[in-house]
Amino acid sequence: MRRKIGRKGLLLAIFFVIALLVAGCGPKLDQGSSQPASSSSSSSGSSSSPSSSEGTSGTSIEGGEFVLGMAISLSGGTAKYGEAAKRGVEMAIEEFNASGGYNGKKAVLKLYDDEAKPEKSVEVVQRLITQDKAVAIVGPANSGNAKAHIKFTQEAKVPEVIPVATGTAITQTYAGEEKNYIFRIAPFDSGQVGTMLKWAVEEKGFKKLALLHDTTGYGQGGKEDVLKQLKENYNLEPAVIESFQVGDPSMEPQLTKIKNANVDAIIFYGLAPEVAVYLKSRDKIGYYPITVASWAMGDPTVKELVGDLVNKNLYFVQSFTIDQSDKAKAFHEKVVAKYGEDIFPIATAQGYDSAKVILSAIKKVGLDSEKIRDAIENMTDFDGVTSAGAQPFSKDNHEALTKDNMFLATYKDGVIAKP
Amino acid sequence: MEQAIVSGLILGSIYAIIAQGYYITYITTNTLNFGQGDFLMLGALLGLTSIGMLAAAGVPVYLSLILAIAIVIIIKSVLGILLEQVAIKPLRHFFSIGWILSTVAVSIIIRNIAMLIWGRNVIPFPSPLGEKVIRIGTIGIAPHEIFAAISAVVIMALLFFFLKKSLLGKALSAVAFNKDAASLMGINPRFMALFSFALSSALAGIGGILVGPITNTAFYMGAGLGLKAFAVAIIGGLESPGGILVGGLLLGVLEQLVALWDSSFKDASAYVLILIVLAVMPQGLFGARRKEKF
Repeated sequence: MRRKIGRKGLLLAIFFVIALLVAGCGPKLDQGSSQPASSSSSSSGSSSSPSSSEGTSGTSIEGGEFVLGMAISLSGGTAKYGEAAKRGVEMAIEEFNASGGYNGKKAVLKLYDDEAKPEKSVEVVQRLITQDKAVAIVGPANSGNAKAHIKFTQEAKVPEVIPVATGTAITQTYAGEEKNYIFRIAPFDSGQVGTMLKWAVEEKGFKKLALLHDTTGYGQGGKEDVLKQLKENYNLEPAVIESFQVGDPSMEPQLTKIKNANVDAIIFYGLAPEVAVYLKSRDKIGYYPITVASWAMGDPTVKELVGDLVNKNLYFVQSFTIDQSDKAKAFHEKVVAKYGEDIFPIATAQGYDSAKVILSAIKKVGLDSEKIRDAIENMTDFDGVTSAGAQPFSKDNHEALTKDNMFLATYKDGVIAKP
Repeated sequence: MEQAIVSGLILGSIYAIIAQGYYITYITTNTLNFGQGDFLMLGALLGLTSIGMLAAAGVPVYLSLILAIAIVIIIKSVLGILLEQVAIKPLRHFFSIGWILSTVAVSIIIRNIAMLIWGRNVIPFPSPLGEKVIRIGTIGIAPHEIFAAISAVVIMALLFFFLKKSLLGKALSAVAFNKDAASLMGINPRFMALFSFALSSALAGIGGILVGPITNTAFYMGAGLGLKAFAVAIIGGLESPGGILVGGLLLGVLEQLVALWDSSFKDASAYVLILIVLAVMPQGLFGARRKEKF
């Protein structure tokens, strides 16, 4: 018997050691990324071989070819973003080649899967620059990956346009340099918060707000942005601030508390799986407050997980909806015609625009990477499908989507539409 | 408040059912599977896949749920036996606590394999019972939650009767009490050890099917649940099935109530409760009191 009791003390000690160990094995979300990054488990067996996009690598005609690089996640937590953005890029290249390329030179897409892992991302971006001699690169889906590899594109003087990763700091890293090679056509985090607050406070006149955020880098960053911008721009503070953890099976207590505080709207900051939990909990307690969220709420995963629950009082940041213009509708139909379905319309649109801005620059100045960068920065006649303007960038602004052209969309009968 | 208590009870009954898996192997072999949480995850994903396949084959909903549970029980029992053979038995003899690391190792292997098979995304696990929320006064409950809570209590009752009343169950307890004496009485301790691991693993599998539609189903879902269940086992007393049930419900409700007060302390509350319980009653709330002999 003595042995048994001694063992229990031991068990407890081991329990805490394992608690630490297990905690380290959970899903990890990279700081500031708008999507779940790869898990920390490193034994992923997916192969790292490059997959050259089939449809676009056409037979070489006189005039030759040049390489447009792309490093994005086709596996891992952000695979859906990567796959959708890839389709957009392929379509832009197809159009570019159909219109004669650059002096007969056709664009070829060289695509690598970064597996949503920063170290993999660094590897494939270096390969694109040194081995494949990509004239420009369409960037990653994960902010952590972007942060890890932009050093290399910047140093190699290869322009990079980011179609998905939203971490605010990414495009500002080299803002102080003479030439910043990093551009973005995706809603950056603090711009999203600005858009959310502008809608809730200015347009709707909501004064009493609740903030519900996750405890990862994404939600914490969002919380800081929300508090800062509420204070500075509107001199307001949220009436209730609640948090939740990734993997929590329910948010009912938090929601009950918010319900009792009787707020005008909830600002929600979390990723797709947690959005699903939030929506289920809302349904459980029969409380459907107006919810304002970042673009993570528009992730198609949410709809897969909860179905019709997305249709009630949800407003979230978008740069593209199928119904925003005839051009957007035509683009959506082209995607459906080519791929059968539009799995993630906004990511495809942003991927398309990212490649298009590069290819339009190439049309003007040729294949010199530095000149392409200058042409992207100085472009004044851009014609994309997202809400990016005719002059998407300037010397001081490398964000094509800002508070002025991001907007809030909602679900109507399961389709993301303008409210 | 009422909502928080109801959610807490449902969550707690699931913690308790996983924790019973720790209890079974602990009383018979003095070891336990620290990967119980990942065994649960595997149960959920296997259950999801088999329900999907059965439904696609045209099997009626309820039948497919029952069949899926049966499939999971069979696969998980085999896995439990393998675990005992590979990770516990070889290590128990020459290094008495080696099995702790080896069960954790197996769980990490399982988690990675699950990631390769089912991917890294959260997978929708629609409950075969539908998603329509049932409302009782101010409280909303999903049908699957009622199913989970009732199943948990029924399974634990069956388990209790099995261990206390049936011959096989008594044999398990006998091995736990005194292995040598039991084997002199004609009980095969090897068989009993294998049996307890199969049972424990199957319990985790059923827990997975019960919990899957309530939480998000993904390869990483087990780690947190397994840990909470272990906390439940410690709080209730590792040697008392009734204590584990009470401990589970207590922890589930406590968590939800703490979250109602301040959500950032929710997880901490579980571990604070362990420390308090162990400081006051080192054998757990319902563990048998024994004087330590020196």
